Amino acid sequence: MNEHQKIEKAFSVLHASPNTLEEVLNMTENNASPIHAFRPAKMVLVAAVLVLVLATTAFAADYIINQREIFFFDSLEAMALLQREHNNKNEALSYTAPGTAEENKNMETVPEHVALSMEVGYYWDETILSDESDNSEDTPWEHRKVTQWQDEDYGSLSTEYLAGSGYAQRLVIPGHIDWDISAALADFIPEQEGQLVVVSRKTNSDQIMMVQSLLGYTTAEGKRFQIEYDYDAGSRYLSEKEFILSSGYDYCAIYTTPDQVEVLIQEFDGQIWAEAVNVESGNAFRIYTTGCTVAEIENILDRIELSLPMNAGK
Amino acid sequence: MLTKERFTSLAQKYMDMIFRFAYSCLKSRADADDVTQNVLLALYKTDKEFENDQHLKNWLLRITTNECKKHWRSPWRKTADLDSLPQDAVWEEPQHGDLFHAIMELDRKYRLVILLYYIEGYSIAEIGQLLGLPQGTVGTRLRRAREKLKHYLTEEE
Repeated sequence: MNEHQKIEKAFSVLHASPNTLEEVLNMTENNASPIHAFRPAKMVLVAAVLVLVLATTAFAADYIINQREIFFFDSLEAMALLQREHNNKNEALSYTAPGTAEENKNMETVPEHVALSMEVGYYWDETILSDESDNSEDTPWEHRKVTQWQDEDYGSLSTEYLAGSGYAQRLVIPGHIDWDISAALADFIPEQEGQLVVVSRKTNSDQIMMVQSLLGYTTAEGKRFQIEYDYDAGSRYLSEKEFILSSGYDYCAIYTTPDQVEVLIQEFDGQIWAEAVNVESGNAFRIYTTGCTVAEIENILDRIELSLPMNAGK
Repeated sequence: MLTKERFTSLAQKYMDMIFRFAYSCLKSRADADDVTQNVLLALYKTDKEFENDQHLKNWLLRITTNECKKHWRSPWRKTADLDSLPQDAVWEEPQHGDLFHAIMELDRKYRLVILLYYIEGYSIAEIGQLLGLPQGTVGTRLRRAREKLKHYLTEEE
């Protein structure tokens, strides 16, 4: 038996679940039902569903979400069991209940995430993780690299990888981000190798098509804090974004920042996830933290200028 | 959009491939099933014209890759899945199971290259295109993966 045959035999046990096709066909058939129909087979204990449609004339809507749905669940189990279809969209959404702090204690760091991304080809410039420059003590991890490649949808793109501790304090991406966050994060230590910015531009016009920034921080007390900003010109946020409010969380509410950006803040077992999305232009801003309080998150949100990124692309 | 009959035929043909790739990426049956469903839904609803089976297969793997990324970029993410093996897996020979476990213990970057090369029949150049990696990197990963699996691949049966 040769290598090929042995590996084929090894993988011979991997088959999709027998009911996969049936479930997909059910989903496609249910598309004929009214918008936002649920799949009854999987829906249990959903307490109430509230759909809010905000007019775009409100000034706040210029920045944030002009159409949203809010789902209420009376338990995390009910939320996790719900699989919701998106009419006219190529996806079905499943909601996953968060794990406990103990289960998530090994939450990936920014460098771990970047390494993982490279493994599957999301980022493919592995040199970005290695320090090849002749650094001074002031810039212990400064790196910049530009790669040209062909994207199936956007054509020829030029991708710029930026990594360096300086971005932990100030990050500027024209038209998207102009943050000086040193004051807001005075008590946080930039995570080593935890600051990465990836910007893809059209080669022939310099138009920004994709942005991903990841900024990681820690504290001496072991708190972890991560800021993310994503933009994709062809993002799927284009039609709608649903917010989930679950009483299964320790805390769940929408917080409005001084520059009128609405941010969903969720807390569960000492972990907090805050998110704002611009559904029209495909921008998303997120904070993930372990150990911080909701008040600390709101304080940071108050000090970070969000109106520019959340209004980008319009 | 595909007809139901055409979709069913294609889904039956490719859903195991999608599942294998998702499982090799995520190491979780539940997550791999979710990804498989999402990819098949995307196939059902796409208006894309496929030139041939290979074009479709490549497209499905790209969608699968994106769906896998979404899973490990979810808000409540973990570094590793505990549900790493099929619960009801039974191999013809015990050594096939040992080889499977050894492959699943490899880093994801090695697992995916092994899967695409040996199971899906892609060349090194094609894998490079699919994963957005230089051919040299794919070749290196394949060689290192083989070295790590040498004990299992050369063992006499």
